Formats: sequence, structure tokens, C-alpha cells
Amino acid sequence: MAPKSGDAIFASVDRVNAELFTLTYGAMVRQLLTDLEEVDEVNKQLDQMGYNIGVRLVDEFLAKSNVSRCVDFKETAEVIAKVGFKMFLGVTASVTNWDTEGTTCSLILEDNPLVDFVELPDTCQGLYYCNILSGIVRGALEMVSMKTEVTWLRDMLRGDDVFELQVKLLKQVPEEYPYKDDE
Amino acid sequence: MAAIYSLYIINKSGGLIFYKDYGSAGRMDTNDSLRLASLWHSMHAISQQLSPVSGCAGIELLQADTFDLHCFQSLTGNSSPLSTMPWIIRTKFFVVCEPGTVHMEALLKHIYELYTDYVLKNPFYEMEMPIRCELFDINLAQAVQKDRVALLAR
Repeated sequence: MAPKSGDAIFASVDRVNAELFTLTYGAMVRQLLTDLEEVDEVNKQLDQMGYNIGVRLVDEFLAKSNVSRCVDFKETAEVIAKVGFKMFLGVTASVTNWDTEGTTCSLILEDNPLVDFVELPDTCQGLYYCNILSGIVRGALEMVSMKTEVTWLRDMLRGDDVFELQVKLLKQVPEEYPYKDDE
Repeated sequence: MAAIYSLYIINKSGGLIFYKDYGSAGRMDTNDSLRLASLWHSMHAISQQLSPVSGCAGIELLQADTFDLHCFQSLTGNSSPLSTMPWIIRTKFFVVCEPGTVHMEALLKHIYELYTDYVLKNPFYEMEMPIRCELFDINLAQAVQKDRVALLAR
């Protein structure tokens, strides 16, 4: 079966009101801030929650998009940006800032429904409000045997013009059985 | 007459996490189904090594006189904790069916979609544990029923 485009999948899945989604996420972050008190702890918790979502979500992504194995990390990044983000978040990202080895790149989000009504107060300046997204990407990639490090380089809530998510490939486990004659 | 005899889902460690019987042929008790699941898990791994071509992902179809066994693997997987098996272990879905039953790949793909919807997205389902999700059962029964109707119509 041919791989589907992000738009095609987005059109076929069930959706909820965007504000319900945005407000629910906001309420969750607020509750975490109340419960954990430390901004750093909240960042960590959001990342962990995202990771737990990512390891499950990736199967749905693969089942519904008909995407098959990517040839390299470059293709993987493109698929995440164009199909993955569109399917689950309704927006597409662009991929830039490749390093020379092709192991580090940036996903640029110009539009992000998570932050529609959000203004960070002075007390939460260290908060990565969308840290759940980085966790999701990390968790999803880990399930397709890529260990990555995902960090926010730019954040619109901190005054930048876009969201920039840096994805760094640390380790890739070979997919197939390493064929050796002498064993 | 049942086209599909039974359906199995094996987790990444080779444990049976879902088993369903359809029709009378090939019915098994719990112990036998567990044994078959772990046997298939190992045979599947061995087949990857035995293949003369490198890059083999394992047996997809096993044909016998009295049944066909179609196996589908998820694309996701973990590297095995055993150093003797340094490759990726995936979740496997397989059906045992009447010889020559067609469209089993599509059915397995559909079952995979149901699994992502009603098992993985259930927040109370723990990964790698036996599947006890009513919504999955209901939707699976519908899918298999539809497949059976389609078969009778052909």
C-alpha cells in the first residue's frame, strides 16, 4: 500500500475541538506546576509523559500512514515533520539546520496549537511549555531503534519567532540480523 | 466453516498476549497456545538467521496440508536484551487459517490498526502485558465477521 500524505490521514482521523485540546494541556501543565513546584521538575515530567505517549503513538502512526522503513535519518526527519506532526497536531514542521554528518537537524514549527492562549509569567521563565512534544519524538524514535536527544533551541513563549526542536541521533541499532559466516 | 482458525499476538519477549479461537478446528487449551506462541517466536528468529539472503525479516507465510499460518510484524521493536540475539524483536500478529484463504495480509494489517487504537491508546493497558480490552474484542469480532461474510460472498 502506498504511503499516505499527512493531509490525507489528518482528514480521516477523528478530531476534537482545538480549544478543548489546548485548554486541557494548559490545565495539565498548571496542575504539574502546582504539584511539583519546581519548573525543572515539570520540564522533566512533561518529557517523561511525552515519552510514554510516543512509544505507543508510533505504532498508530505506522499503521495508519503506511510509511515503510526510512532509508536514512534525513528521510525519518522529513516524515516526522510532514506526516507525523500533521497527523497528530494538525500542523507541519520544516526540517533545517542539518549538520555535516546528517545526524542532527532542527524541526521548525511556525504554528503550534498547544500555545494558542499562553503567556509565560515571570515565575515560570525556565519552563519548556511544550516539552511533551520533545518527549513524544524521543519515545517514538526509540521504538524504531533510534536513540535520540531532543531539545528546544527556540521557543515562541520565550520571545523567539518560531519553535525550533533539535533532534540529535545518538545511536541507531541495526534493524537486521548481522549476517556472519563464522559463527 | 471457518476460514480463520485462530489469532495470536506475541509480545517482544515471545510471550503470548492475545489468543482467540474461531471455529472448532485446531482448538487448543491455554498451555498449548502458549507453547505454540513461544515456539513460533523462536522459529521466526531462527528463520531470519537461516535465510540465505541477508536482511530477511522472518517467515511471513507457513503453508501446511491442513492450515496456512500468516505472520505480520509491527515496524516498531526493541533490541533484544540477549547478546546472542543482537537484532530487533518486534510484536508479531499471526493467524492460522484454512489453506488457501486469501486477503489475510489485509486482515492482519487491519487487526494491527485495531491494536493501535483500542489497546495501545487505552491508558490502563500496560505495554507488553496480556491484552484484556473489551473494545478491542468487540472491534476484532466485527472485523473477523466482516472478513467471513466477504469470504462467503466470493
